[in-house]
Amino acid sequence: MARVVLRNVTKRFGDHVAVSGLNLDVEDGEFLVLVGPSGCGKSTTLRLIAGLEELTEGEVYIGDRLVNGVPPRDRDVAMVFQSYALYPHLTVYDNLAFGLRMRRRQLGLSKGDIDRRVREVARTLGIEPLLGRRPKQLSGGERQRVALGRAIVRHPKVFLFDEPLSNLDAQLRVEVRRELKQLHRRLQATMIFVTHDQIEAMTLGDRVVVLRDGVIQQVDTPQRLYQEPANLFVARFIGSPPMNLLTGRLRSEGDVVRFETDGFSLSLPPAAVPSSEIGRIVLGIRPEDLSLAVERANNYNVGKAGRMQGRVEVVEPMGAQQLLYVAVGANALAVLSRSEENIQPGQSVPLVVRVDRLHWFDPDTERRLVVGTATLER
Amino acid sequence: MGSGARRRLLANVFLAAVVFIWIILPGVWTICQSLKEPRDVHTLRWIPWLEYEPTFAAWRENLGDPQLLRTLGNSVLVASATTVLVLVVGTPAAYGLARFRLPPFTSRDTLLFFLSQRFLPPVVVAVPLAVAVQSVGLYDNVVGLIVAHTAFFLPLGVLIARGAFLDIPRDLEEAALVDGCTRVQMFVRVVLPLALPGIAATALVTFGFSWNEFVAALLLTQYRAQTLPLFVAGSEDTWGLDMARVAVRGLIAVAPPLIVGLLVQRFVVRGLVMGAVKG
Repeated sequence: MARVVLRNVTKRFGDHVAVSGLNLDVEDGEFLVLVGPSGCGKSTTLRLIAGLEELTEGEVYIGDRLVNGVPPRDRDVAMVFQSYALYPHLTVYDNLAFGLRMRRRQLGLSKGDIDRRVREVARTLGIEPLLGRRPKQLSGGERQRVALGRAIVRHPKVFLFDEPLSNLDAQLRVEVRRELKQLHRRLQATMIFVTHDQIEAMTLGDRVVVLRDGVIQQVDTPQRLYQEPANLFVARFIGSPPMNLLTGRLRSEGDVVRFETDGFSLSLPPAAVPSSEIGRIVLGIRPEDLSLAVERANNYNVGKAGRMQGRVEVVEPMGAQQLLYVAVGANALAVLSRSEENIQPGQSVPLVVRVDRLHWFDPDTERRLVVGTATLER
Repeated sequence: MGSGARRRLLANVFLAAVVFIWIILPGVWTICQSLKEPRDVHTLRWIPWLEYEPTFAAWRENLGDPQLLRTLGNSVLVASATTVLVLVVGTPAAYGLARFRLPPFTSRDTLLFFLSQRFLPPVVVAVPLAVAVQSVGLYDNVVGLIVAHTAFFLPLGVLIARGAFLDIPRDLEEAALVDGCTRVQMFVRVVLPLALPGIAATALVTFGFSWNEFVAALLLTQYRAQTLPLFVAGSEDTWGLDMARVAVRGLIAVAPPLIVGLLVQRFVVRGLVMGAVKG
């Protein structure tokens, strides 16, 4: 078990900067997830920690030891690969024992010790009957388990996962996700997990690091990442269906502030906006913070705070909920509503937005603007 | 029978016919010829004892010829040594070309340079090669021929072996490194076992090429270091061509590579299809 610390870590491949000035503290026993679109540098970061890539600049510490230039075998980390990377010429047993055998002398293990540890891990993962097989004879889920076992059996300081779930089918993925979480709780080990799937990131991570073009966008708990995205990129990336983003301006009008955009305007209480007069601003609304106000459709009062009128374009049933795409002015807003509402495409519906859950961003810096404190001259 | 199954059957029959006419028939014919008296050689008789009276004179004559044993031994020695040298030198080179590059060249450039050594017809390099070998005193010496063959067949060996290494996913190597291997341990414990089919194919091809090689053997040897192909070609004497003698020598020349092939076959077949059935 160990802390992992990255200080000003930069990795360049020729002219391409894969990771740029990364600073990160992974606590002992933490489950940290690196997430971002492909090419954001998350896998490179993981490989830098593993020692499979050499740093261009910066420092990496594992358990307070500076590991710059230390080969992977001496870092005491275990890695689970996307492809599982099981040795095809070895049986499951030998795959599990491989890492222990390579370090036998170092760890002072006898053959009996190795056998005991391999069987113990096989038992906990439920792969005991497979020990004599070769990787080729295993299903995807079984291979996944063996790859996991190969990491666990070594009792490493740090576990590194490089998109280990992406080759599994959807159902199995959910299952393994849950198992991983249980495993983490049981082992209390430091785990660093790379994925491009934001749902995976949210469900697994104690904290989540959102990366873009090799730069950290935000490091936070999944809750805060969702509720207070630090910038437009995080706002777009986290959440499914994604946040609605509208560019417009804010104008003070009596005791309300109006958010004006293409084709419609929205009245808001001054407490819900960063500043009453802003020339250009981006408003973000999560689909679940918009709801239909059907029951009051008849006496709908335009001008009241947080209300607008739209026309339903598409209805996507999702079981307990349905996702509506509602045209409001020149924008189409995604709205999550309960399935009981009987909505037809083409129908005109009133929408009400939760004004205490609005997100505001500066369109130029793309940064989040805090409600009531922003001072923007434009 | 579905039309697909019928087509498959037809294809198999066709293939079997080709194999029979192209490979088996000449073999059988050669065996028949080796048992004939000179007067029967130019007849289309196939079955000994029934159609003609067989004789083992040609076999007795050849097996008693010390030069046959000498050339057979030379061929085995040259082909084996060449194969070993190509593997020892070529396998690391192939791995290097599969995994690393030598700036400023791409590994493809380097490989092309390797292969370019084989673009010239052997005759072009024959004279300089003969002069070189003679000047270091290795004329009519198996060592000279081994060196020449290694130089000739190394590029092809590297090319084939490189393909085998390219087929090995990098993840496996990295997993081994993280699991506690040094680079050398990784190569020996993970890469080599997985590349074995490709390396077996390399060995077989090299052995076959060296075994059959004629031009260099002709130029660089005379008597002591003579190899089997030359001995077979030398079957004609002042009495003309003795077909039975040629047949016997041909059969003896074909046997060793056939045996090596059968031994290595199961690895090679896996090697050739490895890319197709990955996983």
